[in-house]
Amino acid sequence: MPIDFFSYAQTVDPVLEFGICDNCDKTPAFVSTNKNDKWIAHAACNNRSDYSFIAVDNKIPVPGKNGGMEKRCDAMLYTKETVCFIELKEQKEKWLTHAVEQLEATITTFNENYDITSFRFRRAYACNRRRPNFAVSFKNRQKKFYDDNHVVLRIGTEIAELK
Amino acid sequence: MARIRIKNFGPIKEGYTQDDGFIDITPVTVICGDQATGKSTIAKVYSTFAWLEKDSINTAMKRNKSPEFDDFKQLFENQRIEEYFLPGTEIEYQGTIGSFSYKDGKSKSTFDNNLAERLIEYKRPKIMYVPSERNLLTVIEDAENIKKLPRMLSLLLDEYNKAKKTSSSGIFDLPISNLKLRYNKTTTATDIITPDNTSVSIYSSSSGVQSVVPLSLVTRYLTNEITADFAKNVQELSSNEREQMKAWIQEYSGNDESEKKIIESLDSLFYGRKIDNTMYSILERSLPFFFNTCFVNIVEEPEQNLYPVSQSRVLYELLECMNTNDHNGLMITTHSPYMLSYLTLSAKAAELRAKKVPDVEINKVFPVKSAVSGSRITIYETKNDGTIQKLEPYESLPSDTNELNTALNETNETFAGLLELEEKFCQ
Repeated sequence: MPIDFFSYAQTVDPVLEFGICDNCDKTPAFVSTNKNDKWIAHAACNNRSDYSFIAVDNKIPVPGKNGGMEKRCDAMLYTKETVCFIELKEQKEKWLTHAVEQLEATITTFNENYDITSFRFRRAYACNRRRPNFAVSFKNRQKKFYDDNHVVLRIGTEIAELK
Repeated sequence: MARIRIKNFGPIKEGYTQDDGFIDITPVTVICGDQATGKSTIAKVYSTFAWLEKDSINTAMKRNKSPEFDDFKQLFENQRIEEYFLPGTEIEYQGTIGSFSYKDGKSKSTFDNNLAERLIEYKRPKIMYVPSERNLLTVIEDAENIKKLPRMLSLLLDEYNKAKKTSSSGIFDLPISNLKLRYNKTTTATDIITPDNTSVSIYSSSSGVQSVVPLSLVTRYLTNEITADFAKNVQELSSNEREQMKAWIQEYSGNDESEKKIIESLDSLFYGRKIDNTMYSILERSLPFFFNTCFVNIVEEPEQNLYPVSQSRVLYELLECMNTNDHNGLMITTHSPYMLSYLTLSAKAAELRAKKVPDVEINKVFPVKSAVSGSRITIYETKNDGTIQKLEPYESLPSDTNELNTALNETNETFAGLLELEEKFCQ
């Protein structure tokens, strides 16, 4: 059954930056300009009006092959040229492996419904808001992710302005 | 807690601009930053003034007056930073009792008027400066015969030799790679023994081992040597030191009767006899400044030539030694993001201890003896523009917002940028 990701899209108001939040309570991720909300990811918007947001997990039903729901990332952001897949995490063991699995599963589902290459720039973000956040090299993982999905993976909570 | 302010001195220009420009010296003080930005300068200035405070107190006690200085510059010759003085140099040190400052080319020292009372608060430190060139002592066979060896290396060499000679077994556990050091007192041969029992001369061992050996041996030796045990310290006094102590008691005791009692008790302690508990407390409380009762270890680049896991072992040993005495201090300079990461683990382990997580459980993931509360750690970052910044802790844990961490992360971001270029031009 086709899945219409874009029917769940909402326009993001033009602001300098906004947060992407997740209450971790089976409700969908959401956009916030209120600093009192816990921003897991910070997205630079630079007052642009062409940003759209899609809550994916707990919002878009993606039936799994063996019953239940397929793994899904938390959210997507897109403009005319760029699409971002976003997974929001609290730090715990193997969080990155789980985040990558959810991002890859969503990209696969998206690809089954759309031509992802219609977006010139394709990004994926694995965000973990917990600190301390020790920097590590993950270039091989980035390379494999790109080879497998044709999407550039970044690990961090700062989402640079979309193209 | 000592404080230090440095401005226009060597690579340091504006210096630290918060807190009236003063850097706090906490039990663990870490200075990180790019090369030639002033990390070692801070460590050397602190070491010089901590030593000066200690030496000045000795002088003041002997002469019963505050020592005066015409020129601090010459003191910096030991650290070879005397050329760092500039026309606008300002340096200030505030210790427990003594304050020293240098401004407009003039040196000034100030001592607390109430020396006798304030001395009780003073914890006299053994100060060790472990320079980054330390492996010179383990690379060259006859380092003792090198002329014009830098003063700090020479002092380290003295302690390194003492550490080796005072061990009864001559076998030392090293913190890295399950290695041991074996010192033969007869031949003075110093060998490294691997876990499979092969041995190699220290002079032929790896650069990492050569760097670790003097640091580890001297740190362990001084940690064991310096004690806050008053009776033990009294028993080890030289004759002259005992006389100096008695002269001090005669100067400051209230009357002849109490003076006599105190001196008799002191003699009893010296000869290993038990004395009345109340008198012991009085002596212990009023005369601690005659002894080194804590150890201030100032270490340049503990991570030198080491693989990350070995860096952690060296740091954990330094922290464990610091933890043996409440008044010990550790200052390290570092280029290594790993050092800061491992330090964060130490602070987190201490936080869990404070929350009553059992030591046995913490020990499964972190050596609990090396746990140091984040409130006892301060990290400063020296910048290329000559400023110094304090890395504010995050929920009492050391900050990971530092240039070392950022630099590592930037390579990932650059790699992502290269992938995007590949996507744009190579499809």
